[in-house]
Amino acid sequence: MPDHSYFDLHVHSTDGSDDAGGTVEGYCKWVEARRKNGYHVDGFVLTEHRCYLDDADYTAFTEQYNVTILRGIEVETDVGHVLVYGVNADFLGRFDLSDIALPYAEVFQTAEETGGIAVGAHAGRPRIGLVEHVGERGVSLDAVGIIEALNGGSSDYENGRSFDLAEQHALLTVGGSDAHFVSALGRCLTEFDVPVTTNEELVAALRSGAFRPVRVEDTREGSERKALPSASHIPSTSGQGELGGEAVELDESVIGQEVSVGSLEVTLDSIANYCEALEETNPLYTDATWAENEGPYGGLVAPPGILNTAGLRQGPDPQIRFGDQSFMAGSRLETFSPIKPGDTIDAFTQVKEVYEKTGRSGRMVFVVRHTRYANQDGVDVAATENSVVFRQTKALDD
Amino acid sequence: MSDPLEQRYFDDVDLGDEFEEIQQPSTEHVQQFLGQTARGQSDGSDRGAGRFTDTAAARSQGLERPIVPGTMSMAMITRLVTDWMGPLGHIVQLDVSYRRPVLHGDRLRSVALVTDAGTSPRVHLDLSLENDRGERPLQGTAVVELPLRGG
Repeated sequence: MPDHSYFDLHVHSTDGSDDAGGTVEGYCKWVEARRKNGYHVDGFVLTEHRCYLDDADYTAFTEQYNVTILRGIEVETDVGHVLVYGVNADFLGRFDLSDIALPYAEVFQTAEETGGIAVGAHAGRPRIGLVEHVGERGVSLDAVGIIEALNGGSSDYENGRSFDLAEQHALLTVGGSDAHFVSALGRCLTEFDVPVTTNEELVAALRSGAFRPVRVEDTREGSERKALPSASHIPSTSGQGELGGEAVELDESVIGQEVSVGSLEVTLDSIANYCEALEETNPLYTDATWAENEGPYGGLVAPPGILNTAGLRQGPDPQIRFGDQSFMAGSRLETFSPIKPGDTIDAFTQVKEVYEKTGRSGRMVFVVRHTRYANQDGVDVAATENSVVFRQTKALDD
Repeated sequence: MSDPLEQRYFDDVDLGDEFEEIQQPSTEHVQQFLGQTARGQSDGSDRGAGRFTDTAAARSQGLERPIVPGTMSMAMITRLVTDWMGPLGHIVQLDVSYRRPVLHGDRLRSVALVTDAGTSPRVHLDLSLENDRGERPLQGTAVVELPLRGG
């Protein structure tokens, strides 16, 4: 397979995607690790959500790790997400990338006209893949030539639906990991019959039709390829609600205003209760004698997760008027100093940002709150960032 | 499962190292966790908090049974890291995304994978909770500082 090349066509990084944890250099190191294990990965394409990394320069990483790093974008359209490769100023000038319901046919056509190519992303996923829109709304596939049928973030059932759609409509298929975290890169790849080293060569290779989706295991010398999935053989486990269509209203004036939201008294009892609930056995948190004699802080400290139990007020409310349900979408914890029994931890919260996007459950609005925790001496001991998603789960009356 | 008494040293960590724990949060565990918060039933997202303890409330929201609060899932994955790093380790940052609900009684495999151990003394980890249905309800990353041997 000397002339073949293997690319992960769908990767998100911390440089451009709000929900990604993988850094570009981290991905490069992971490719190195994959190669040491006998897998073949030539490079990857950064397809950030609604954002094209025009100015980023990854030449140093390419040279250091011998990994080809190309750039595309994942946009959101009225029939789901679409990956675009060979993006240029002409394409970018035609669309407002923050729009989560771009006209899909126009995206596919414009990509083609401006020297690029578009691919229907994770086609089998509810709401954000093509399959449902074709099946339920009779959406035309005239403008669509390629779909991502092997997606590392989709279930086997969802990927099976994609392959079934491709077969029914004579579409070509690619593979991508949809990596948001380093270790996911390369789970699914696209095998090209030619070497690819530039964005232009990638577009040419995709236009040639000489490619196919593969799993990383398939890239090993002498590996036997597993059959690709079909939905008819796999039970579905996903049940999703209907998408609401109302406009999002909010109070933007609260964004960036930090207010006091309460405090947490840390006691030996509260540490013990927390450790019991989590079945925590680390003696640094549970054994005062050990912590005093052996631990680094001269005594017992609280596990960093104890901040999650602080019964704080919500803080500034942007008054999101959207959806019928809210969930935690993500959390970030940074720790600076140990929290000790007897500490009083004051918390200060601000709304950092509000934004919307689409996912398996349809349209979603995210509110990100940043909280700073300071002890009785005024020392910041930790900070958290919590993201809450609002979504519509029940069909709305027209 | 890591022994939390055992100290992990930066010198002994390699790219690709993997460690895991099995955890199974019960209704009692969730109640105990929630019992410590002043509001008792909230993870910071206000609507429909009954889903954490009440079967009927959970079902009315389309869930098979009550779910584990996101904050508790995060605490569970934090425990995996603190057990592994040992008493002298320090979590610099831990970042998680909640992708699917964790249901009461789910048997969870908490997994961490070393994705970068090149910049002394910091180690980067990918984290996930995996359930028996083959889903990853939580994914994330952590940056941990570990002591050097003899340092």
